[in-house]
Amino acid sequence: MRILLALDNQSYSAGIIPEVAKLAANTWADITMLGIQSTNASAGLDQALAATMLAHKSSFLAQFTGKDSPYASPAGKEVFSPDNGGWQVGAAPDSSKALNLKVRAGSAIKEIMAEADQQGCDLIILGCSNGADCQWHGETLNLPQKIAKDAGCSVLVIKEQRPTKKIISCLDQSEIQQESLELINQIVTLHDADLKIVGLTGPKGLKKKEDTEKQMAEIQKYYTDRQINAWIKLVEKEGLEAYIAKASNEGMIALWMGKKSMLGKMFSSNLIEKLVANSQSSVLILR
Amino acid sequence: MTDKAQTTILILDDEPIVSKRLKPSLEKKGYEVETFTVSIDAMKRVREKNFDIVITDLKMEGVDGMQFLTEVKSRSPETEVIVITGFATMETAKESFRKGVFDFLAKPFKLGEIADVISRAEKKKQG
Repeated sequence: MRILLALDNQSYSAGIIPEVAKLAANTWADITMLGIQSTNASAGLDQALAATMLAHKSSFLAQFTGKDSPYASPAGKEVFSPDNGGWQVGAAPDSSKALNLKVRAGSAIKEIMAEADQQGCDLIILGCSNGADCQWHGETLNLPQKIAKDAGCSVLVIKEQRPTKKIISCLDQSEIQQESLELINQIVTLHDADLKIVGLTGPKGLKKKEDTEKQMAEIQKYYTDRQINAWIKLVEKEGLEAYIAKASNEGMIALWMGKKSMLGKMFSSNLIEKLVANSQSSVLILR
Repeated sequence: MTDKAQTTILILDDEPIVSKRLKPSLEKKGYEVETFTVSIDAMKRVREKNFDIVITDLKMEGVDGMQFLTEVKSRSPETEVIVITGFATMETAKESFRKGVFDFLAKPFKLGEIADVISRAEKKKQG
């Protein structure tokens, strides 16, 4: 699994490091920590941001104890070197998995999505300011929302540091891709959370309620066979938006918005932005 | 013309879609691939034949992946085992490495990612 961790110099970015480290410890993912400087690359590396990124890396590595970390600690002082128009610090040579630091210059939204595309990332993770605004300080308005809406891969916006005990997974049961189910599995395992699987029923473009129930029962069996507490909730297509708004107070919302997703057709992109902004809990957009 | 033996790979995953994705892609790269969705069948097969590389899921009904990889490494220590799992935990990663696996990949992963790991395992075997 390849994860892009988008970070800035604010406390909400520092605050997500422990959760990301826990996910990395479970999955042995290749990690890139990315910072974006707004000043032009020709002006040189923003030293304050570089120092912040090194501090984020130290904080990440400090979450691992003992000899079992897949990420080796640097032997000496680390220095950013020029890399393809930006700067980077590569993984330590004896590291089992990659832990790279990168700084790119330009528009944060554009650079985060470009880096994720170039690396073939499975997941982008970022934090945001608390409360209903969910912003990145000093950046383009609604950056987390725009990343969640437009990225080519899955996006996890971490909005809280309290434990996630329930994941409400809204998926298009007839079309969801294996990769998205796998990502839900990892997040459920990470939090040791219960899983509520929301299936859609309705007259247009959806299967009959009995067929949906059958499909959902199969999905539930898949999870219960793997010792995960999972239960099913069927929601009428017309009531889904209101249901999701309410459910976001119960736990993390995972919304499958893949290309073939019925949800993608039903939800306007503005609604994803609204969900990310208004949700009390973290939000996982699956693709 | 050189007569180079094909690298043999066994894939065990109880979700058929995993083998369905991997098999054609690896065969295209020149590997000889056998796939299994039932762990007991894969167990029988590794008792008949030593594979160069074994790719196994962990959480499965019957014989689980940890038991399976233990059997593989005990019968054929030179076989490189790659664990792929949808329910990764730090404990399963640590236990896998204690048992001598070559690498541990959490799902989802891209085909290119596992192809890189296979290529590294192959190089290690070739010394």
